[in-house]
Amino acid sequence: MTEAALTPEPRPGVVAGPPPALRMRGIRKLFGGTAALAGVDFEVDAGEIHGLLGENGAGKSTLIKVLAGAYSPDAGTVEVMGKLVEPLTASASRAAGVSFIHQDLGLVPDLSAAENIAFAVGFEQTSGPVKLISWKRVRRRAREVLARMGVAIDVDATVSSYGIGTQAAIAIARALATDARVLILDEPTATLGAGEVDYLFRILRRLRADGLGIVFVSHRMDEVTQLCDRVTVLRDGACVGTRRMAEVTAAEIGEMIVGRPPEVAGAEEEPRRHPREGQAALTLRQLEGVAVGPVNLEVPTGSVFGLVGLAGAGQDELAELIFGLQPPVGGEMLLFGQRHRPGDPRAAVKTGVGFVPADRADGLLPDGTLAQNLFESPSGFAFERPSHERGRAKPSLLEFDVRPPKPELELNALSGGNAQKLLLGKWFLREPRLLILNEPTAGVDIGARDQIHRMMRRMAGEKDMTIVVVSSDFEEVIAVCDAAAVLFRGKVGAQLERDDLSVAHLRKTAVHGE
Amino acid sequence: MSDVIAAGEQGEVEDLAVGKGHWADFLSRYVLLLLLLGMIVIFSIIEPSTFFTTRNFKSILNGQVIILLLAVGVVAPFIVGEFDLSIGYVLGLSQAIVIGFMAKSGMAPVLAVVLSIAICCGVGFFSGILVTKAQVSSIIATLGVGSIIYGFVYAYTGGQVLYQGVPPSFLELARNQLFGVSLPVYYALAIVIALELFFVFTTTGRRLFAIGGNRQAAVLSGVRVKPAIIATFIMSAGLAGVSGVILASRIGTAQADTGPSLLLPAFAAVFLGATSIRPGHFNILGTVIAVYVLAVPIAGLQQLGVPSWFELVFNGVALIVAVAASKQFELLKLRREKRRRMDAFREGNEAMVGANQPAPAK
Repeated sequence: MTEAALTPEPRPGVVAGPPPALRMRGIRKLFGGTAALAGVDFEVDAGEIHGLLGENGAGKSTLIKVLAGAYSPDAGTVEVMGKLVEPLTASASRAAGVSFIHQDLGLVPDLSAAENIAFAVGFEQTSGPVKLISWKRVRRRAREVLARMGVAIDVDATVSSYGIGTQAAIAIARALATDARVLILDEPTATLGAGEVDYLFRILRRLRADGLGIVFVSHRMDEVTQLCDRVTVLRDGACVGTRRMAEVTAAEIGEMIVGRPPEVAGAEEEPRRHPREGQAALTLRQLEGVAVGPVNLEVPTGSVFGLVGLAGAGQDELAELIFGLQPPVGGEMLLFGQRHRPGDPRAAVKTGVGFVPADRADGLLPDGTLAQNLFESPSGFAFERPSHERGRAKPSLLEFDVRPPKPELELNALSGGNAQKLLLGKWFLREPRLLILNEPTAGVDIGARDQIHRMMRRMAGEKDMTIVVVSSDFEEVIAVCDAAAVLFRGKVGAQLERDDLSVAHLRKTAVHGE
Repeated sequence: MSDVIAAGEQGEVEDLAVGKGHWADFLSRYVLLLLLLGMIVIFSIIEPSTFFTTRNFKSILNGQVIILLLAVGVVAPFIVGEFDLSIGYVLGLSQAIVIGFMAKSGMAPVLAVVLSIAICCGVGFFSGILVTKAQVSSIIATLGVGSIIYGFVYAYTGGQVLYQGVPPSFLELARNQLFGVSLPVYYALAIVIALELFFVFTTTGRRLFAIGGNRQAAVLSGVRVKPAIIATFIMSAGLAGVSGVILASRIGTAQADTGPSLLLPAFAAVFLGATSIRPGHFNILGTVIAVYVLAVPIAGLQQLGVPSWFELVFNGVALIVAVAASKQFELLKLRREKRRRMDAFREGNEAMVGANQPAPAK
């Protein structure tokens, strides 16, 4: 819990007296007979970054949807800057100055940054008698609003030409342009790398200084402790409490979230192994891709190995090269001593390599049943009676703790964390010799995250599977990895053994390359 | 164009901006125009007496108006991410009824023209309803609508060529000239300018791009998506109607089977046009250039004695090449941007990576 020791910066611009930016009181929301929200109070000051925490299903998203006007509450009131929002509809909420940044940023990727901002606030027009769009003014306003955030980019470039961090900045600019007073960020960092997260945080701190009320929803405890002034924790639809970040530790927050002292992650259950003598599972020699390399690396057999780096440092592409998603530009790979040069993912799978993409949607069939998703096979026509398949699926669902463990259920019915467990389980079942996991716990709550980490340790320990974890989540790397390579600007900045792994060390290497 | 643009006074937050002044971008923007000019020069050198004549240029310009209007019309549904395969049939419908209304029903030319175009707009409205309300995929809906129209046109013309009783004043619509150039060229010019202004300089026009780019985002930013999509089908069918009227006026007759063969060259022009001027986006000016890029070699080669079936093969090849080329351009661009971001990163944009790190804790 290294990050927890950091005291957040003092909050500027908060004086007693003015009404809070956002005040939700006694919010109740019933679905059928059950209360998704049982009278929740939630307050965010102007000039404050307020963390909203809780496990999946604790009521965070319901609360946010109530605020957005997507659900109408059965009881309770919402005030923005001291004014009651009544009736609570989507347009009333927007007009009051509440803006949402979702993980899917809702930008039009093929159009320019300036234009995306204009879609939210309207296009500025020429002053002549014929009303046409004045692209000059549209650009100028986009630059102005981005400047408020301290961001200077070419507003004519298409959104898709920017990295996700900047795309998030553009989405925030779009909200600011509509005079937002309260900004709700729903898991904004789940898809960002560490460098981009810092970038986003700098923007958010600047907006806090500007007097915005910011709600920050995240599963990553290190980010919450680093960024937030206060946190409010929800559990089972009720508010467990609101705490000043300065007066509470990450462990205490974790306890508030799960309702019991946190279990210690799998680290102690499965003995860590220092790399064995003998053949490496994977050897990279002078391997080069479009934007990565040359890389030299050895991954010991049966280890959990981290590939770490800031966004764009090359770890994603390295994983893609190993799995045959891109052809290497130069160098070579050895898989258990054999030359490894897969032409496509299918060839990689045949040699015993598995890959779980960062985006769950790329690895699962949303309309399929849990059983179908678990046994989905990339090759061959194995006919099997559905009932038999379901019977076979049941023990695996229990093993991987997918809830509810009903093989006939459609995947859509699962929460994010459970879908992720299923996706990993599907690959564990195939028992590849080398399994690459790209951000295996992005957007997954604390409980599921620990379970996933334990599963990874167990697979490496019992099945002798070698697991390569691509992650920008330093705490995850420490929790689960035997060793890690830190990428820096496309090259291996450092290779760290178990004993050298710490958040501070990883961060320093990822940022400075040494 | 600098890759990294310095931040504001505070210099607090910077970004890796991707420059846009790359030569390859410039080339892809104007390659079609250069191709057109190049072909004109080549054919003019080969056939100075037949190709390089005012008369020939005017004839190419005027001759392509029908395809041009079909193509710029169908740009609208393409922008919102839908197909309209019925435009050829709608053109046939318009041609048949405008002649029929005058020849069979004795309607005044003005009324016949207005009514025909209105009926075509109605067809577009119907297709739009099928796509948005009945949720039929646009490919299927417009294919079906096209066949229905084709059938009705056969019934209406009785499979005959209608040519008797067309008032001469109607024929002037396409056959008269102004400053030595046929009137349809002016109609096309006006429509092209209006469409360009609409798509680039009006909010309504820009919203269509938002719908095509990310429909969900468009909904969330308050765009009424369904009416907009219906409107694009009305635009494409309406302009197909206009070109049907011009065709009818030019040749003075109507038969059931002219329209369908014009679909493919129009599509080829739209896709080819999307590689140019605003690469990666369906756009009016690119489409206009593309229409002539397709027409010039056919005209030139036919003067050299190439048989007429060549045109069909050429258009088919052009459509496929256009789509393949734009895909390649896109991939190259993605690769380049990735490299560039990496380079900016390597050159050490330390301000972005290094600043504001929390002090490492013990």
